[in-house]
Amino acid sequence: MPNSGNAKEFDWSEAKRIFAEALERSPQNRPEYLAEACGADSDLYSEVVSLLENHDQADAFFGAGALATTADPMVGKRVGLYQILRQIGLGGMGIVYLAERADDQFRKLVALKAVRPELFSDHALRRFQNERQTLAVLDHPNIIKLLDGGTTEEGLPYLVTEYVEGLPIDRYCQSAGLDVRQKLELFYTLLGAVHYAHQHLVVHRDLKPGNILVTPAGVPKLLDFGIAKLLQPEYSAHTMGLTQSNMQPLTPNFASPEQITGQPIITASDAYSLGVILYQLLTGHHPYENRRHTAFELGQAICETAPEKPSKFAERSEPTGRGNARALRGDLDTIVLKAMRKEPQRRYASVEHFSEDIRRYLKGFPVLARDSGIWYRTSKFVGRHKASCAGVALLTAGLMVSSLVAIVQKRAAERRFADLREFANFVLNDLDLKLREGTTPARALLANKGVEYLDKLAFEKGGDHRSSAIW
Amino acid sequence: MLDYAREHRAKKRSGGARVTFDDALVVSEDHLEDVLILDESLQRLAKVDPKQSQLVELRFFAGMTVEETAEVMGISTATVKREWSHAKAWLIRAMKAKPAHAE
Repeated sequence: MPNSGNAKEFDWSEAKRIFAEALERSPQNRPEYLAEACGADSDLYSEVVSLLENHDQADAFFGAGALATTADPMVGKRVGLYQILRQIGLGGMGIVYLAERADDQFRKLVALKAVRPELFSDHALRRFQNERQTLAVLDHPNIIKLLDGGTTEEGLPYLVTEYVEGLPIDRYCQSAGLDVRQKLELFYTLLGAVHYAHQHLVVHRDLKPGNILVTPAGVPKLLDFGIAKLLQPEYSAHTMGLTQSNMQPLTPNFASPEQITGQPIITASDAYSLGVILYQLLTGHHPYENRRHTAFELGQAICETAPEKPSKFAERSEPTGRGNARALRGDLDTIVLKAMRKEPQRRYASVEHFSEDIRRYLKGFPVLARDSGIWYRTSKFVGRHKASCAGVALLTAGLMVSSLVAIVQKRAAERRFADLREFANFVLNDLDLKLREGTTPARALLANKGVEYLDKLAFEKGGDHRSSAIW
Repeated sequence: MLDYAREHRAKKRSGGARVTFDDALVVSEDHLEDVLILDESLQRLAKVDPKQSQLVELRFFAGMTVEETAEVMGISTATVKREWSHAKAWLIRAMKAKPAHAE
């Protein structure tokens, strides 16, 4: 393949091969090898030489593998039982490292979170202890597990949690190409974890896609209970400082109106954030993405502007993807908007109710958030029992058709009966008069037959009959 | 992450002071500019060698190990290592050739 990086022409894969081979040789042996391998191809030669010149620097920039950050004295150190491998995250208060248990025979990776030394303060310390206590209370497959914690030699607190390799939930949904149903199933699992935390009197208070990682196996894990609040009274002394208004989440994208205005945070605040997350998962967009120029503008939108229906948003933002908008219209619009109501008391009464509605939607039951008109419930019923409803419809149609046939036949029979009676009367009256002139035996026969016939008809009709009245 | 880097650059221009990150994966501010130039260089690499550029994304941006990258791409670990070395050298050279953004 010709290289388009510059004007020179050389074989790209050949350059890669010679570069790799050269790297395996000691620096002093390289010139000889290159001269031999490149022969007369001077473009190829200069390409490989220039790559080799950049090679050492490359390692410095790229590090061993994933993104390296500025030199951190913690990397390579041993903290408690753990050997710190590299930095993997930088939060508002702490640095997260990838670490492994130093005494283990098998390599067990963990995440070790330490307070950023430059931010170390009573406040950070409290927040740290808070997270540690919070996590210690929780034991759920979809919530990151606390494994250990302690204080470094320098006196900085740290905590150790299980290490989750995964993508934030929004990116996971994108990269895995989940459809609406799969997204809802994943979200339903997540709601289970949040509800569990609420049952243990923990409000997360900072739910956002970045705090919800999904493993390659598709398991969502809730993390960063850094500003979670324990509603349990015995812990409240520790958390009091965190409820001050200056402790608002740093990114208000998923914050509820009451968080923006500094009102008390309750479980319904988490429900709101989850509503925004669901909105974003379903439409691929943040509901207020056009109002995010400043935190103030966003805060205003969160508190005052009613979000657009997810289906409308989807339709507007991707005119080609109408299918998505159609899937969202109705129930999902209602569910998302109910979770995102401005007034906490008008949202779902709990995350459990929220998850119940997702479950109902997935199973085809009427969702509770909707006003349940008879038509809506019927259409849901039909949707749930498509096969049996089709059977019933078929049966009904069948009955109707056969009744119709019976009615038609009855009418025809009655008409025939009337015709016959008319005919018999004609024979007995009119024809009889005509035949009076002669042919007596024929008249007698006709008369007898006529009477016989009329009698039979009268009997079938089961009642006294006009035809018999002529006698 | 690149979105954040771009956002950050935009904020820097508009005079915003501090930036916080939504994500678990975060780069220190000193590196943001590098990351942007890297992204631009990576796009050039993608034109010459799309597979190698994908490998860089997995290895560097997604933070996968050599083994994971090999599994995802369906190639041997030896190939991942060779391609990775080459990509790093190529990208560094490309980044040096491209002057940093005037701020």
